Amino acid sequence: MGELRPTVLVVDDDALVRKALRELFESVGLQVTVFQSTQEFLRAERPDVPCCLVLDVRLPGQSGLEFQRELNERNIALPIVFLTGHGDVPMSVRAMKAGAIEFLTKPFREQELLDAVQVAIDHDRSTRQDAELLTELRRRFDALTPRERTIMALVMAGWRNKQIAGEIKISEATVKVHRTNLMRKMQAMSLADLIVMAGKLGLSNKRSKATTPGKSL
Amino acid sequence: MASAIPEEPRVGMDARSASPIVFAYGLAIATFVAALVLTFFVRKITGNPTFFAFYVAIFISVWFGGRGPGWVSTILGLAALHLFFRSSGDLLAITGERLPNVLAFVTCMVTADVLSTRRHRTESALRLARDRLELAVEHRTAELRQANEALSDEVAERKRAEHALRANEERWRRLFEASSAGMAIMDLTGRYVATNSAFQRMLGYTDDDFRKLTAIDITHPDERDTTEKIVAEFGSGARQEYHVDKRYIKKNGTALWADVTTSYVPPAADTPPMLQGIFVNIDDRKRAEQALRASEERWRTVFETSSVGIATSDENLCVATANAAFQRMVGYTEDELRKMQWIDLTHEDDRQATEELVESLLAGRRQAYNVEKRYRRKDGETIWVNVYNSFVPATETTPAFFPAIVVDITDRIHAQNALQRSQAELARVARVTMMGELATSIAHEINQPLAAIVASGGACRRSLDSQNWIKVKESLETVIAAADRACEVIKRVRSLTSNVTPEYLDVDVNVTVKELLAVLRGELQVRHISLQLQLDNNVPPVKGDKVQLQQVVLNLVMNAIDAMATMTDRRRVLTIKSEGAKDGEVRVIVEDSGPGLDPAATERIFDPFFTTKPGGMGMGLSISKSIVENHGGRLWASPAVPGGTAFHFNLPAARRDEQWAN
Repeated sequence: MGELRPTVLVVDDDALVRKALRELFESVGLQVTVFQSTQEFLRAERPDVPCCLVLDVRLPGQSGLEFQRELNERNIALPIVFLTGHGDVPMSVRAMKAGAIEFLTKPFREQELLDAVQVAIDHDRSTRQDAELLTELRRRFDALTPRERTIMALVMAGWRNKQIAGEIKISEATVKVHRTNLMRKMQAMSLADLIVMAGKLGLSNKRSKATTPGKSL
Repeated sequence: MASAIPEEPRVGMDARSASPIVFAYGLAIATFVAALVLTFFVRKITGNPTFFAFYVAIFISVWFGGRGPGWVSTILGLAALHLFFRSSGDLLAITGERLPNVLAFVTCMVTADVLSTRRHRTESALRLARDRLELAVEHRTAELRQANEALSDEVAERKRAEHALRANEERWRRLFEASSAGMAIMDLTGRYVATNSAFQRMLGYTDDDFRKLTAIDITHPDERDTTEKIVAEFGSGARQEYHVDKRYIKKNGTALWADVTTSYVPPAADTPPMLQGIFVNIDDRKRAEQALRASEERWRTVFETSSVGIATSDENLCVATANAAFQRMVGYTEDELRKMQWIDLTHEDDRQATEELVESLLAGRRQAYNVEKRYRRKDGETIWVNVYNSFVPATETTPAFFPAIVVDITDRIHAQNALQRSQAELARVARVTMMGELATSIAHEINQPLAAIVASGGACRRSLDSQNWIKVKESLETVIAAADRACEVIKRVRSLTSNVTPEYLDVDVNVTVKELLAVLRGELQVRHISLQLQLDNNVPPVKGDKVQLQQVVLNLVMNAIDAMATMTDRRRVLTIKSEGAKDGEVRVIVEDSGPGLDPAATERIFDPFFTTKPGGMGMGLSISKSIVENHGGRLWASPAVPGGTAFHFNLPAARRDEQWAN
């Protein structure tokens, strides 16, 4: 990922704080974009690089926590490092539950902030990688035929080939052919691999619950 | 009478008075001519001239004309004799022939003259005697007439006197009766013999009543002894006159003041000695006098016993009088004060102001003034006094003077100072409490720059490592700016919580408001309140204590914030305005957009311990109001447009000459 400099997005209404944070993050080689308000942030285009949002809890108009909720609602997944002038426990708990990376009370120690930002960027980076992988898996999954998807689901649920053949009224040999094809299409090395992939795609539990009534695993 | 006696020569002269000489000589000539004619006539008849006619003519001339005409007639006769009746030539020659005639004529003439003279003399003597007699008679007659006149005059005089006497008697009676002053005649025991109606009216007794009374009987019991003594003195002749203001008892029993003059009237031929009294009703005057005296006494008592100092000074500002309270107050006796100038009492620091005030009284620019100032007591101690001084210009009876009423207010001033101190302390406590409420906001305001310092400090260190000097400088500047900001906040907080005595200086309300915002900005942010500042840059400075005034604004802002706390349907807007008001005042308005005040609460919001906020102490507005009022201003609330409440306070602009305003 060396080709893209991670970017720190700063939202703080205090010009002095914005300036200081910019200086700090730039001094460790991070790209910095500052915003005076959340509205300004929403209007701007986000760079397609690993990012971290450094957000002041106390903002005019909308508070940082409210903004966090709004971002979640908008499915904007950004790791957030909260800064607050005067932190209190309930506030920080709420922020952390809502997925914040860190909740720092001003004045924070410089290293704490940098570490938190680093964690957030790493997090975002891996999130971004996960997202890429998922997209690939989805693409592979989309390439499966309906019969292959059905068999995959049943395999994942732990059914044997014979049971599958009985269930969908085809020969066991045909089940094997489908199974080999879907393993190839999904680029799964093993059944375990496939199960992981299914998990990532969010298929496994849903399917197994739906298809194994009265059958103990 | 003397002039009536004619002078002798005039008797004979009278007949010929018109032109006696012409008459005499004319007569001589006329008789001569007549004689001449007659002689011619006789000669013609008889042929023989006789000169008898000439003798007659001479005689007549002498008899009636006197000696001169006699001689003329004689000479004319002789001439005629010569001319007409003798033939000889020489006219004047006296010839023998003519001599007898000449002699005869002369003799005739002399004889006639002698006879005439004698007759005249006799006639004169006779006339003189007659004149004398007439004169004497006349004289006597005049005397008689005079005597007669004197007699009749005397009769008239007597009549007149009698008449005058009657008129006089009448006049005196009427005077006695009609006199507005009471009059009475008493015998020597004081018993009334006669009284006039004024006296009867005055005391309500009739004349008959009086006749049964003595002066002692109707005298006021308190003065009866004196009256008795005085009457006795009159009786014994030891006293001739007595004048007194005394009280009588009227018939109706009430007392009456009268001015009484009693005189002794000595006995006359047909009157015994008596006493005469003149009584003037002075009851009203006496009562007025008594009232005046009572009033004077009352005032004097007020002056002397008043617990308030009262003193007067003359036009030269020397102390004239001072009552006991004033003497106690300043520690000087009245005598000591009289040697002092008024201004000597005044504390050195207040003298100039006092002099200006007195000057304005003298110049007529004001009639009176009231001022709180300091006096220096005799023992050197300073006391506070409230002085009401005025100027009373000279009248006909009294010279101009300054009456001053002086109240010792030292205790009050001390109490006031103590009260002010405790008020200031209370205000400070309230401020500190408010600061506690603001702690979060203040912490935020300090944490912001601290965060900036930390961040920029870190950046700076890293830039040092990479030797990027431009970045280092940039970061350091951020650090300094942030530190400055933190300092500013700390300074504001410290000033608001400091325990300093109020200092009254010129304060710019705009600066005051702006500085206060250093500790408020955070609070407004947290509460999602937008701030509108509408400060008029032209407002004059006010005289006041900056911290206390900030406290007022702070309090109003905190109230505004609280008022908008539960509001969700409208924008939360805090407006702070400053503007010039009338009479040179400065107005500050703090306005919220909250729900507004309950009208019932509006009346009580400034009461201590009244609060509409849960957990509120109810002191904020009460303290704010007392602070504003201590600054000579007013604080009030009014509904804001379109909603919410506006708190206004007016403060007088700082002026140079305001401290001794009346």
